Amino acid sequence: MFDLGVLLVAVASVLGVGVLLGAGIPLIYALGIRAQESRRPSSNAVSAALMIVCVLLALGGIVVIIFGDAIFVG
Amino acid sequence: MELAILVIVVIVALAFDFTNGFHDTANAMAPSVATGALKPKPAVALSASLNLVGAFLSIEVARTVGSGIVDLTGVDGEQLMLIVLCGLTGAIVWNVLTWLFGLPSSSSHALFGGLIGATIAALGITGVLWGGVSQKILIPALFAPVIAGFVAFVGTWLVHRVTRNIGERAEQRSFRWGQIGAASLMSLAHGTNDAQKTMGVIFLALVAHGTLDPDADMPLWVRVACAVAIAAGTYMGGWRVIRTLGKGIVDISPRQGMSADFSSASIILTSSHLGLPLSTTHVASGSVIGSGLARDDVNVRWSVARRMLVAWIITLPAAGAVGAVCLLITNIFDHFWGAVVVTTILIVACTIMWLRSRLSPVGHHNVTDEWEQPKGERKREIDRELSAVASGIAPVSRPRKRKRQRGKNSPQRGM
Repeated sequence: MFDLGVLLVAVASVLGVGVLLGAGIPLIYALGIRAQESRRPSSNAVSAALMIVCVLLALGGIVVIIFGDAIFVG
Repeated sequence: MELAILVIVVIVALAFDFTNGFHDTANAMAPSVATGALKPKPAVALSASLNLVGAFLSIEVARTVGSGIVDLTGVDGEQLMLIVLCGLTGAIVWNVLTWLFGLPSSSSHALFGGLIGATIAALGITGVLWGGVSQKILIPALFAPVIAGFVAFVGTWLVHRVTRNIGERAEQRSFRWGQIGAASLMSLAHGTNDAQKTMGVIFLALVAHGTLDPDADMPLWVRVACAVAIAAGTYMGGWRVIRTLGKGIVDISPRQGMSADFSSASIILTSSHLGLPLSTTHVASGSVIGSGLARDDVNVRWSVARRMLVAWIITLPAAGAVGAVCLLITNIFDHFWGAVVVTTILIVACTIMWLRSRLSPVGHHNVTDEWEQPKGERKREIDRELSAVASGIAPVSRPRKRKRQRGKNSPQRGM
């Protein structure tokens, strides 16, 4: 059975998560690289913090996407 | 005899899973291999391991594949298994053929096309649930590469804006780990999506045989077998497709590679969660093109992209046609001998294509060589440059030295 509503919600979800994680993580990583290359005081700490945020976002994305039903629905 | 047909179907399904793995290695690893972030062999080993893990993480897509595409109510068990076998045969033949030409086409669409073709040949046009086909295959096929391209475009553009003052050496060094992380995530995502499709098909065959109830859980042995088959296929490395995706469409930079892989991974993981059987090939190719468009100084080779698009469009009908012909062949014999004959045809066809591939081998030793345009295109490009110089639009430039091909004299091996 064709259900346009369900399809549109799925497409919107894919687009939303895609932009947030798919474009967001590279952006944060790039900010980390820029901080690392800037050679200012504390730039290493900022860079490390941004890299950790990237890793946490990627791991969080995997956990939510794969175990989302179990976590949020019960 | 029913058990013998079931065994043949399961073996052919695992063979499809294997071809799916080696055809789709490129989706995750092509950018990393092309930019040199990972050496070819370690890249496929990493991808295979993560595909293995990913195959155990979700079964939403497996549930979708097993239902909603073809109407199999009232079909007897043996005939249903033959439909599945012929569908798989169509899909494998198309996968191996597109691998031979180095075209990144969709294994998922080949599988669905094969099943639809075999169903039409067996039950007529009414045997296909066209609403389900539109919702689960056709419309996502239109959206997937566009969304992936858009996300990769945005990601690459932002990354370039932020890091535009960073030198090339720093780029190579700094983005290497980002690329490896993104490619790993993409491999994991591939395992959560593509291994499930074969699980769904084997589940369908087991239900047709009467071994399982339609509401039963996915047996552990099916999950393990499918995970191992796709990981083994991934480890073999479909070098021809890796070469096209990594070098043929666009000369990808580390920044672009990372953005493209993160875009693909996030989209595929989300679609796995939603049970949408998206083509990972469409997503990965859309991401590579999107990341190429985000830079002014990089040309997307539209001739390669056009060939790919044509392959995408004809995947469903071509695999369907092979599936339908196979089913008509099985009708000549009884069910068991029909299954044997179709499997024999499959083995012969794949052997011929593999032997053909040995004439121009692409392997880990030459996968990253510079992309050579076809002679006709090169000539047209030179003509355009000459006419631009003649009309005073472009300055006369010194001819560039052609790079010597690496691995030209290396031993011929690989896939």
